[in-house]
Amino acid sequence: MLPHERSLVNKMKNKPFALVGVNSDPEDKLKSLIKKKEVTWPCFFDGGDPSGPIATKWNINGWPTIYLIDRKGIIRFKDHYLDDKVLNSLLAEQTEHAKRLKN
Amino acid sequence: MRPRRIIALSIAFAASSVLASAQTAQSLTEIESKYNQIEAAMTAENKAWRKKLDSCKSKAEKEKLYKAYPDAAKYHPQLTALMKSNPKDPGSAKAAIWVLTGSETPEQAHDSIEILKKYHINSKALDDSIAILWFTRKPEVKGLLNDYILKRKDSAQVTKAKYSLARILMQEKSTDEAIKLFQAVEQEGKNLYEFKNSSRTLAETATAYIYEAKFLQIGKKAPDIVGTDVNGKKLKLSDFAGKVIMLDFFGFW
Repeated sequence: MLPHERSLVNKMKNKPFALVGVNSDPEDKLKSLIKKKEVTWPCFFDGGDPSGPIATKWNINGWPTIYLIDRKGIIRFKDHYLDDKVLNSLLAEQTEHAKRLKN
Repeated sequence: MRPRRIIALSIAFAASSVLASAQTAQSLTEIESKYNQIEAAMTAENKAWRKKLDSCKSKAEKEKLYKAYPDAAKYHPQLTALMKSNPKDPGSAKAAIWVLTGSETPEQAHDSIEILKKYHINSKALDDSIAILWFTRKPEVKGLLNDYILKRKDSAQVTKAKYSLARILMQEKSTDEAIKLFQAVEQEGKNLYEFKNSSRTLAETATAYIYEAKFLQIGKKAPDIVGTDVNGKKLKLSDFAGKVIMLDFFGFW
């Protein structure tokens, strides 16, 4: 799972994209994932277990759970996998918007 | 991570084991005895599987074994024949629940749902599984749950049925209907649990689903998250506003 995310972050380096994690691992485990550069993106520490405050509020019952949020903050996708098509169309929307701003 | 289907089957099987242990020494019907035999066969298979799992030395070995989890569905034809031979028999209620909770298509579940609706609305077998019937993810189960809610007087049991119904409505994205039912469960389910060892009450789970239904649907503005990273540094979801955000709930614990 993590290698996929790392390559995504790499691929998206110059794009208006942010991968933000909410991690349910114990503190030392998350620290070591970051130290080993397995996790290279910003990550909330959610209290060290799956019943942490963020996961509880967001009613997370399965991991991973992925939300895609557009530039206006609107939820556009949620599931237990990433739909590349949705991600690409959101990025295209974003690029289109940036172009319009320029003109 | 264990595939969803395995968990579903484990739950179905756990539910049926509860039924077996509740059996008193009173004389069993022929169908109940036959049902018990099938269940004993499944229990033995399960036990053997667990024993193998405990003796696994590598992760790869374990992964392989997860794929060979004893298949409760292979007993479906036998159980279906059993319940059809005398649908009114109490043993048929148990057989119907086993098949219903383990079936993958509406066609497979159809006979079980009909038998439960027609003859077993008041059965202990249905009572014991009513709070987990949402796991079937089947729209057809809504009819059974609605019948149960209408016909049963036991308020705790009715609340459990409302909970299952609300979860199925959520799966179908009928969020307004789901919210109404979850609000009832929030009031009525303060001392009720899905399982004996559930960590949250049905009321607490309902609260979480109401929040999800109201604020976490596609098309809604994502609520901000304010927290810290693992080093205690402040972090907000809104720090990334204006970008396309992939919010990834993950962990390996």
